[in-house]
Amino acid sequence: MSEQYGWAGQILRVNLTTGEFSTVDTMKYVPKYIGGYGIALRLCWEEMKPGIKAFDPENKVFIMNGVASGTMSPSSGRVNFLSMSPQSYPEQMTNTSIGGHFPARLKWNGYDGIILEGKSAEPCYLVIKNGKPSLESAKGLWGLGLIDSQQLLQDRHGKNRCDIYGIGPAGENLIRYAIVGCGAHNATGQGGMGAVLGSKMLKAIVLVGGKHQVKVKDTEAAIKATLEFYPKKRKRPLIYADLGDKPNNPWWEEWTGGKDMFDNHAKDWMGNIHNMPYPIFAKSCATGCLGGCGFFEFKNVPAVSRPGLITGMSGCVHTRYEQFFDRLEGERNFEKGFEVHVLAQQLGFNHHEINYGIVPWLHYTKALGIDTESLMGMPTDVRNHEWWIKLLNMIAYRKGFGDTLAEGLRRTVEKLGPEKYWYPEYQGPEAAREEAANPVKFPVAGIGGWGYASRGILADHAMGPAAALPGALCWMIDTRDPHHNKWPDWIHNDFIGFIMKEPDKYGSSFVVKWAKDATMRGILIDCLPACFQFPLRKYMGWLWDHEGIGEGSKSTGLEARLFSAVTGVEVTEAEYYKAGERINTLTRAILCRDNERTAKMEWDEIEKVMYKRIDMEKFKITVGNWYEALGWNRETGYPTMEHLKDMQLEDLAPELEKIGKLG
Amino acid sequence: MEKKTDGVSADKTAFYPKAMGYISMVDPKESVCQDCRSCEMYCAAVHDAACGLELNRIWESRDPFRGEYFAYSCKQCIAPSCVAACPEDAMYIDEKTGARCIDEEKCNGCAACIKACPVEPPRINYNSVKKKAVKCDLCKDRPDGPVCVQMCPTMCLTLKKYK
Ligand code: SF4
Ligand code: SF4
Ligand code: SF4
Repeated sequence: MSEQYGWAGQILRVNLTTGEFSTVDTMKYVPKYIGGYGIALRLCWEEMKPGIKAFDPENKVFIMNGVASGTMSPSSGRVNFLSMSPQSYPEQMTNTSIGGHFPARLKWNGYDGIILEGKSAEPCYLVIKNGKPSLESAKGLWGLGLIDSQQLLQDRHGKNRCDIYGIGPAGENLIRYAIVGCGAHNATGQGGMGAVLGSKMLKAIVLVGGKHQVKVKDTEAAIKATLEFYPKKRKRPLIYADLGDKPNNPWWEEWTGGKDMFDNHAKDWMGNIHNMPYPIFAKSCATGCLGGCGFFEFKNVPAVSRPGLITGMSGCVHTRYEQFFDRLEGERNFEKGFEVHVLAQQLGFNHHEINYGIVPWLHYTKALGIDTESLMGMPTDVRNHEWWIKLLNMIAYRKGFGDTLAEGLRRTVEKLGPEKYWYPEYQGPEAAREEAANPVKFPVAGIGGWGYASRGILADHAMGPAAALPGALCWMIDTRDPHHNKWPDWIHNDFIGFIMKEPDKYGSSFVVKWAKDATMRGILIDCLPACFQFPLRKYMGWLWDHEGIGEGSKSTGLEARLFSAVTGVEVTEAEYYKAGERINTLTRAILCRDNERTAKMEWDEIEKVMYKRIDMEKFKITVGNWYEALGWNRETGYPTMEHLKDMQLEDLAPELEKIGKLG
Repeated sequence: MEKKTDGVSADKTAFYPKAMGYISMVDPKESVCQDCRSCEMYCAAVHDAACGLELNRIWESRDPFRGEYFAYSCKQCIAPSCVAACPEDAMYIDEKTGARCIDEEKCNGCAACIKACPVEPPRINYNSVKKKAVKCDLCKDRPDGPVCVQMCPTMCLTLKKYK
């Protein structure tokens, strides 16, 4: 490349122990590893080693934006966080992403990423101002809520002049599922990155100003590619829509793909709250987001437990908070859920673990007469917002049994005894949605692979157990839930065709292909980066089908074209896909080397969390096919030499060979 | 050869023709800003083949803690103080669109136009790399017109006509 498009060219290294700063040359890693997640992984391979625990000072956090960050490329305002994850069970390297305007501003400050290493002696926060880093004391910030501390920092550094990622008390107190968050709602979600920052005594990262200019190779080509896929601009007024009322919810069709059979999916997703009478609008959660997939901002909602007005967001699966209260008798139900929701954000929790893990567990154990109330020291009442407020505070500040729950549901039930506290099967209405079309039937602790609460793999799916197969394949090779960007699409004609017509579901090549495409797409959007909803373009008003390049849920054609338009590096979709395979195998190599990953380890895990829903004997064949399709040995799951060569990853071979993990 | 500014030169006594309009927001009852900053990015990219905080000619203001988002750009004033203030005669009125424009060749980077813009905050950006003032030219060179209006996903931007 004669000119440097897209990339800033350097990654900032911050040693929190010594307070020293240095830089790493990005260009060593591109375009081979694309950007974002790909570069973070390569750095992880080079700089981490076996045996490092999540809260050790030796653990590093790789925060990487991508080649498209800071440009007009659609939904490019995301970064990847990669670290040894305290939430994964057992602790393993995990990645997650977050949006806001921080990723773009990081690029405008002249960096493609930040490597955090070591541990500060005192609470501190990192400032990068016009490219110049400094560490400041976080006295007066430590202990503050995630939203409150950001407001204070915004006042200090200037509205519209800074972007902030921070942690709340949950991160400070090493709650294993604490988030890094920004604004009123954005979060790293899964992975516990907030707790890793807490362990390093880093309260926040504040980016101020920024003078770097990100060169774009071909603006009009990028506009053309975007408009080809995104012809459906929509007016988005402040509206008084009742999301729970199908005829009046303007998004219903998008959420169901226009198919009535997916009404329940739309409700599950978010159309199950009666949110009147507050005006709402769908808000972007990242720079360049054209979609506004369905996070709604609510302004000045009166609190219920105290005087005051609350501004915040709700959307997607996080509407569970509101759904718990929605159909109660009495007044102000939406407000109760919303207040709890915003409190959880202030404290800095991963909403998924709370709403799909801990709270349903307390509810279902009670329903089955398994005593968790005496552990809690209070009766469980998921319809009482005061109960929620107590629960969240108990966990965030590790009071009483909150100290155990702070370790996450998987570690909690492992400690208490899985026979009694995990496996007993609950059957009945879902905790949050008593009137949902399908009652749930699953273990009292709704745990999927690697310790992450599940909302996909456990579902007793209307399409039958085979519907779980591609998701199970994605999940088993991961270290967290593959929801969002790697989740194989269910609402899709090809998938429905497979369910209806394929006689040999376990031996079918479709399952493997569906899982592989989902995995590669997920990886590549984390590299570009783009939003995790990007492949599921239907939610975003993107074209559902496209003759020239393929379909949103099936292709990476648009991503490849945007990559070329921004960077000037001509890649075909096939080459781009191959980069995804390379990055996937690099992930594998790290897990094998640093996290003791073996085929047996992931088989035992997936078997446990499939809860006898599928035929495990037949699934063995599916797994063999899966490994083979990924270029790994059918039996051991280790990457083969031939595949490493094909991926231009021969340099990984000596280390893998040394530990006997070459396939 | 004389530099072509294809428009009305900013001679200090001139009567300035009105612009065809200026970039503004529609009524919130019609549509609102969703905080994506696409307008800023596309604006920068079509003019400079790059994106950055010193290249956009439109700005989105955001306060996620109050839920306030809006975009603003140059008003293409009927009596533009910026044009009058330029000591280099680098500002001119585009013939086709009437946009108040800066001739990059002539601009010496003194920022007098920025200081003269009476609106708060001033509607002219400053590219510190090239040492040039940059402002909205209504995308006069684009066949498809203002890219901010074209790409805003919520259609909350419009070219507002002068009455
Ligand atoms: S493009 Fe439209 S929605 Fe996006 S920031 Fe600009 S005005 Fe707001
Ligand atoms: S830059 Fe300021 S003074 Fe000049 S036309 Fe625009 S709004 Fe008016
Ligand atoms: S009309 Fe063109 S120059 Fe003016 S703000 Fe919009 S994109 Fe920028």
